[in-house]
Amino acid sequence: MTETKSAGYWGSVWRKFKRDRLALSALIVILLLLFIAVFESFLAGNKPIVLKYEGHYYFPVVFRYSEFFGTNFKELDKKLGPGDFAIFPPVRYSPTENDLNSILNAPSGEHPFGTDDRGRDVLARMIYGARISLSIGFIAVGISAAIGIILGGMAGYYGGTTDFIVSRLFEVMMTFPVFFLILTILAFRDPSIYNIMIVIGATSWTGVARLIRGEFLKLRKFEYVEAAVALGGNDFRVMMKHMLPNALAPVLVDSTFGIAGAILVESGLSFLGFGVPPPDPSWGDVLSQSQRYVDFAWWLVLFPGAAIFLTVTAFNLLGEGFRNSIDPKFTGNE
Amino acid sequence: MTLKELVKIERLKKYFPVQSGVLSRVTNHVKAVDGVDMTISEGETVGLVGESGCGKTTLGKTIIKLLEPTEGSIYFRSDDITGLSPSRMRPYREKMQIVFQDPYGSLNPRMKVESIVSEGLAIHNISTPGERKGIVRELLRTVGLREDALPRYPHEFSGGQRQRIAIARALALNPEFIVCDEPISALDVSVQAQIINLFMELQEKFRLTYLFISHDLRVVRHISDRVAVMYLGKVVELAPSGELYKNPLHPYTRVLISSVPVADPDRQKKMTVLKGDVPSPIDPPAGCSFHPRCPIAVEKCSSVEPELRDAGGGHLVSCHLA
Repeated sequence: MTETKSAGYWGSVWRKFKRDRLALSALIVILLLLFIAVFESFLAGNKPIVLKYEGHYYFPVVFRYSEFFGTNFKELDKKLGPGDFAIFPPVRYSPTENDLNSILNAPSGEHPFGTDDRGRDVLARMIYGARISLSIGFIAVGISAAIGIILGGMAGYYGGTTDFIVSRLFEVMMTFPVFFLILTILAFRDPSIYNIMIVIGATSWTGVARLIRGEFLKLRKFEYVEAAVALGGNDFRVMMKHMLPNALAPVLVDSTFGIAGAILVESGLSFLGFGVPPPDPSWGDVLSQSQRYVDFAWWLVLFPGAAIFLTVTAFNLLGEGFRNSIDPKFTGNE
Repeated sequence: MTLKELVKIERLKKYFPVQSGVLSRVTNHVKAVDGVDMTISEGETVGLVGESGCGKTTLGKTIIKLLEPTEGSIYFRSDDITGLSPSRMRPYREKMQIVFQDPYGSLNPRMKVESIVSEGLAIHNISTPGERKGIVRELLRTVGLREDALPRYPHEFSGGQRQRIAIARALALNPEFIVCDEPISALDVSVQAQIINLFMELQEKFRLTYLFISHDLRVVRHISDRVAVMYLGKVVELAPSGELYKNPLHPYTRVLISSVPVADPDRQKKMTVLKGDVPSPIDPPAGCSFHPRCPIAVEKCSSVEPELRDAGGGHLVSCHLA
């Protein structure tokens, strides 16, 4: 026994993970993307973050003020008196702001990532697209993990008939070409962002279910699980306290890859025009506009394509690093 | 010693289905426990010996209903607990506990010692969460661990210490009966004696009743009041431990006892070596299941199954020739 503070399981995972530079930089990229997604309206938009106008302070990004209703803040900027000021987000365009005077502009100081066919700023659209892409990734995977854990857990724990039915169910699910299944479902439902999350989540749980089923089958025979039964623990307690925490690591690895997959599926759907409905921006949507102008509007391909590539790669690298740092036979003495 | 019955099992059987073929049809059964009768009295220790695969562990787990018996009955203080649902079984879980063989596999690696030991109290809603810490401290002291073990994880302890934690967990509910499933065979020899002594101290202190499963005959002799010898899912001999070692009646018991190594290089031992392997418990031999390997078998042994009978003075044996 050492006198150091007891490091739990995740402490040991983190110690190993820290040493993997590639995975660590992937994590930093993801944290950066999360930051962009959370603070999107402070990073891009046509409303000032802080405005001092006629002696009063306003925060138009956070609150709506009736006295500014319908005001174009760019015009207001010019009307500022002495002592008044306005701090704008670094990108001074809203993602849905059309500007017919600057259609398909190449990247410049004014529009660092160029503009699209309606004169909308590509950088602003990509900043807002980050939130949509990431929330689709996380929520879709959350839904699929929840379904997978419940079904896989029941199959693995109860075995027998339950296992038979659930296993056949996910064998059937796996034979469907998921992307086309999603396209078909979205053809009948309106393609709102929530429907996309639900559809992706509801069609991609088989991997998690299989993992959890396998882990539960294995863990059921572990003596600490039997000991919990001998103490009188009910099924729920045994599953939640003794089996799930010990079965979760591979699921988290799988989910990290799943987020990358879901982002890719959403981009694909948007590219085909079945994705997030306009005018909401998503990376796939920006990319889809490039179809018509691909011969000259290279910025419509490069920037969203690079963003999708970077994000998907980062999540995959994170999953990889995570897989390498989890110890299947956790003993604590590395 | 009072002779009040604590645990009684009658014709207990535990068969495991063997599935084969594409449709996973049940084609056969492994007869791990095949008709065992046994009575364990309050305060005594019954040793259970036999070679690997003879069904010792399965019997132990079936008695405390970690496994559902295929046939037969289990009584705890004359209550039939055989068919009880998990919720109706719960009050009996407090009374019957188990200590496992592998102290590395029997403690949840994600839980701190405090939650491991107090889990039984939480499940049965005994005392308030605040009081539990004190109870756990007391338990750790009882099993010979320091209090600073509370916030630690199992991997920070040695095998012997882990087994002490497992014992504390079993003791937390104040049980009357503990199945000790080879609790020392995974430990270093130097630690084995400490744990055995701990078991004996605890028995005295808390008036515990043990079913002590082991393949180490010397340990079993040391700790047990009576010893049961198992072979292929059946108890073939059950006798007070002094009597069993002095006067083994079943040929299998004799072979087992003669195979115990003696730490004396000058002593030439007369050792009987069994021919052949243990027959498959899927399809045990007809008659006496020991007859294919028995050095003294006669014709009757291959056709008529011997009953477990009293050969005098509570010495039970199932052999036609004893």
